[in-house]
Amino acid sequence: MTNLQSILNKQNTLSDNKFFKLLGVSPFGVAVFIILALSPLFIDDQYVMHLLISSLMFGALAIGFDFTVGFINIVNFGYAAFMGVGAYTSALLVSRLDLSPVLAMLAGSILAAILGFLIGLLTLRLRGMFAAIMAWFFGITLMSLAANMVDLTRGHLGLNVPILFPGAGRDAYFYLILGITAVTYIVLRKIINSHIGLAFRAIGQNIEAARSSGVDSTKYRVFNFTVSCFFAGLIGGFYAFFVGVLTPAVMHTRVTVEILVLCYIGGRGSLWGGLLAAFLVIPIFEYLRPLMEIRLIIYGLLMILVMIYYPGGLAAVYAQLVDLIRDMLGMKSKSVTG
Amino acid sequence: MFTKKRLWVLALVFLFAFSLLIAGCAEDPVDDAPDDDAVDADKVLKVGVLGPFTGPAARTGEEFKGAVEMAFNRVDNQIGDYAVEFVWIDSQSDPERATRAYEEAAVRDQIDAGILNWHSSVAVAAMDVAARNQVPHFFGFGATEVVNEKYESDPEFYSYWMGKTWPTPSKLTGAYLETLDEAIEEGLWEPRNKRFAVYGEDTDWGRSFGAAIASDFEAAGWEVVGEEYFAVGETELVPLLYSLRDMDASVIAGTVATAPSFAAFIKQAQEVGVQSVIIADGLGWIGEWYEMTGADSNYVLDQIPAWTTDQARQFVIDFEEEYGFTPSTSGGGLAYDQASFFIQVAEATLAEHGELSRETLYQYGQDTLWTGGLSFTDGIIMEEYMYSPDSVPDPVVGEGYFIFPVIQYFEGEGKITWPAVWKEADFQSPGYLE
Amino acid sequence: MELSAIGDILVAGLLRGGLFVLMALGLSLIFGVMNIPNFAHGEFYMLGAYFAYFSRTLLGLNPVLCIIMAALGGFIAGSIIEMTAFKALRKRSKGNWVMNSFLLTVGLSILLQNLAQATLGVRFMGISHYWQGSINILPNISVSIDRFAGFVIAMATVALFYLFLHKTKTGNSIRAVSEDEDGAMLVGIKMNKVHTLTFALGALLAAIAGAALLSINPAYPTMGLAPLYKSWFVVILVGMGNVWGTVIGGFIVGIVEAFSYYNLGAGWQDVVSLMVIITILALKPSGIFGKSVRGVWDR
Repeated sequence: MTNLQSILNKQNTLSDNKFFKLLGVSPFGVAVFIILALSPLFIDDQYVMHLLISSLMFGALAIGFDFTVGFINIVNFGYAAFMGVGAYTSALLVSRLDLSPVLAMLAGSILAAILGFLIGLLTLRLRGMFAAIMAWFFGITLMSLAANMVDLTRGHLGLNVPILFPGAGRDAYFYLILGITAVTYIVLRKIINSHIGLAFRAIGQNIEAARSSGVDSTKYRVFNFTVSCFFAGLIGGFYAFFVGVLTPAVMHTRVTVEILVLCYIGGRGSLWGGLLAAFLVIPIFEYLRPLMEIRLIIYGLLMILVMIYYPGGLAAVYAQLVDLIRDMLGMKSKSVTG
Repeated sequence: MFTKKRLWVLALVFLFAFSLLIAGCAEDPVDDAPDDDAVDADKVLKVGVLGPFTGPAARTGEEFKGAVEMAFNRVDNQIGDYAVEFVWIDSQSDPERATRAYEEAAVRDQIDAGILNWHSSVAVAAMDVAARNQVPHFFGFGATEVVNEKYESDPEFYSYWMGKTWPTPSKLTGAYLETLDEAIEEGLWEPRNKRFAVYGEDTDWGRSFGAAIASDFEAAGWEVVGEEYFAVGETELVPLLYSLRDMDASVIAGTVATAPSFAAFIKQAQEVGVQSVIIADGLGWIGEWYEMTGADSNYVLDQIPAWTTDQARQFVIDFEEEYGFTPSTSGGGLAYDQASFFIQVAEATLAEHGELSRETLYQYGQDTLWTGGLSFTDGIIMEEYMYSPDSVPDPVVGEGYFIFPVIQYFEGEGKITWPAVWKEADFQSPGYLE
Repeated sequence: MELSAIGDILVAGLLRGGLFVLMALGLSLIFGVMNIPNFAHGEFYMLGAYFAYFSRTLLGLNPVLCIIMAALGGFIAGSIIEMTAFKALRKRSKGNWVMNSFLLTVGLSILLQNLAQATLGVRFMGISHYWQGSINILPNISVSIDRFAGFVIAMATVALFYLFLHKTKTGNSIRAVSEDEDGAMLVGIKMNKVHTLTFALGALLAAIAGAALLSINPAYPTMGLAPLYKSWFVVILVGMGNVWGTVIGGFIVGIVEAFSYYNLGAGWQDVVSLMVIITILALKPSGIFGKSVRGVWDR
């Protein structure tokens, strides 16, 4: 029995380890990260690498999306437009002003954040669904601006984006997006774990109660929105260099819906759920591509079923599995002590 | 928490997902070639067909698919002793997804060559994938300057994008001006002024066409008095047409790729009473256009290849019988020709190099196709398809080569008014002009 | 801008607005009574267009009957969807209803669009006109009969709908639920019935709009997004739960768009519309005619 206790204690110390706490990631998360980081050594199938990059990219977008919807409970329905702002800004800075891509991506995300801040100020005084729909209108407007400022963006004609890493490999792109995803996750997790995260949750659960207990809800919501848009812009910058061409269609509602679906299948309020969902949904649906429209029918049906039967998504399934295993272990340890 | 019922639901979901995976396996994208003892089972030519098979432009994708199947059926899906297998690369009209799909086709399915493509933005994204994997891709449709720019940024690297089907719009728009100039000369039409306005759908194609035709008319001494572009799919165009009407232009020109928008534009132009000769480039692209416009399309000018030969008309009949809808000349018709052209390229490659692979097809394309050493004359749309060192990546444009006649519509029928060799009827001044 | 042009644009805006009203009314009804922010509303518009197309081409019915068929079709489709999907969701819902139901409708929208594409293909199914010709509604201003008839049908539907809500028992119970769900339950109103009926009526209104516009918008799987956006715009602009407000809002949006279209060109109308809505919401956050809708939005 003392043995068991010491093992349990050890485990506790492991997960209480300062390093992990500092990062805001569980040891399991770090393990996954390391496995992913090593994967290019074992995979030389460029298609698999491409899928991994796409999954990471949409997973990271879903993390940023969940930061808003899962915590302050507002659907940023114009999310793809912010991603597009980041994408266009960084592409234009590189192709017109010859800025280095890293700086350009940073500039793109800052511009997206500033826009997010302004739009947040305007919409987030409104209530839940109002704010979501207003964000949607803003997204559509940003898209039509991108389409109409032809001198700058070339509109629907498409903007050629210089290639970031010429040559054959996808590995460089992979490490870049892996880094971006890790930073996105860690930063957002740190915010969620701080007192700010508590305020977010309070606002998301019951805004009236949060207000009456003295939380300045608009301030927190605008802050949340700004941060989320910053990361959308950052990943947008990556998108531009990865795909090599930009049209206003990247800002379309369809793209937002795609991210939203990942986020919900993954489970709101978990941050990592969307990432996991991206790694499942994107490869599976690639695999089902020969089914054509039927695939999208399944997609819609899946969403309806998830919403009705598992509104918590994969994160809830995980939590239940953990509970189940705990229950079993609990019984076991009882029998040992008995 | 974890009740029996929940477990049950979970199990069901897993079962569902699992059965989906099985279903996905079962319907492999690869169309098996017919069993034929004469064909050596080892020798397979894998052809990736890039097109928007699902998504907003799925209609074009369907036409591509039908046209390619029909073209290859003519040779029993065989090139020499190679059996042809298709890999349908679904671009979903989105460059990012198209690169995923193309990468899969290049790496997983190991396609030997790619053919076709619709959107210019997809072309730009797919060019990189094709070049990186050294897959020669023949005859993509995406036509606008952005493709040529990308090609010119590194002609050697992007030489795997082997020839566009369609030249940049500016190489074709001049025909309208010639048609109208002829009409004025012959006294068939007297414009009340030299004012010209552009309209169009706000897409790569719409903008590119509009800019090209505006510069043609401007160079010929016309005054360009306005431009009106509208969002894709917009069908409520009355206010815009009032604005066009009030510009008082004798000619308005533009293109719209979305059929309902185009039909709405033509109908509402009559409703509003636009007093101009209307150039509607590509109105006839979608088979059902006349069902939607009715007689309001009378006098409208279009530049579109017609099904002129018996062979072409037979193609339409066969296509309708097989797939249940009418193909358009610019979608299904051209795709059929280009697929046939590709067959000829592949046969010639086999004859010259003795095997079909990425390398030999690319080599043949570089050495012979791009130098004008091979041309295709058995098409149903154009007389001759050819490339030359001056034209690449565009095809050779002009009479006898890639050319679209200018036609004028009456009761749903297009009468060729230009060029003179094909002329079926004189240009008629629209009856609604006062 | 000439005076005659102003008249033309005003008429065009009004006619355009009439069908926004119809769409927005259904959206507002479903949201007000059931708290479902319906993202699939455009898909009922699409269904209406398909029903009308097949009634016209396969059955050869006269235009009015086509629209009635579409209305029936929309009603039936709406009730089936309500009784399967939303009933199941309501039974299991443990809070956050607005968000969950919203996502359900997103799934529904994807499902219906692709079902239409898989079964009916990607053909544009349109007709050139219901009624040929145009009429002068004012001296100097002529519009096509189709457009005018569409407007008349829209207005007649709105009038009937208003009478239904205010003069019938069922209509009264729908209104009661929208104002106070718990209270309505206490008085013995059968919630399930009211919910199904409400959703079906919303679908019916959208289907009529789709059918009435068939000669302008041919039926196509993805045709629903633009009208969806427009109707949300009207709803946000005027606020909730006010039939007359929605009617006026629809006209305002139609006219504003027509003028910005005329003066600035098509691409900028979204920007102009956004400016209008921001200004109005800055002055009155619950919309022009909105009652205080606290609570409803957070549920």
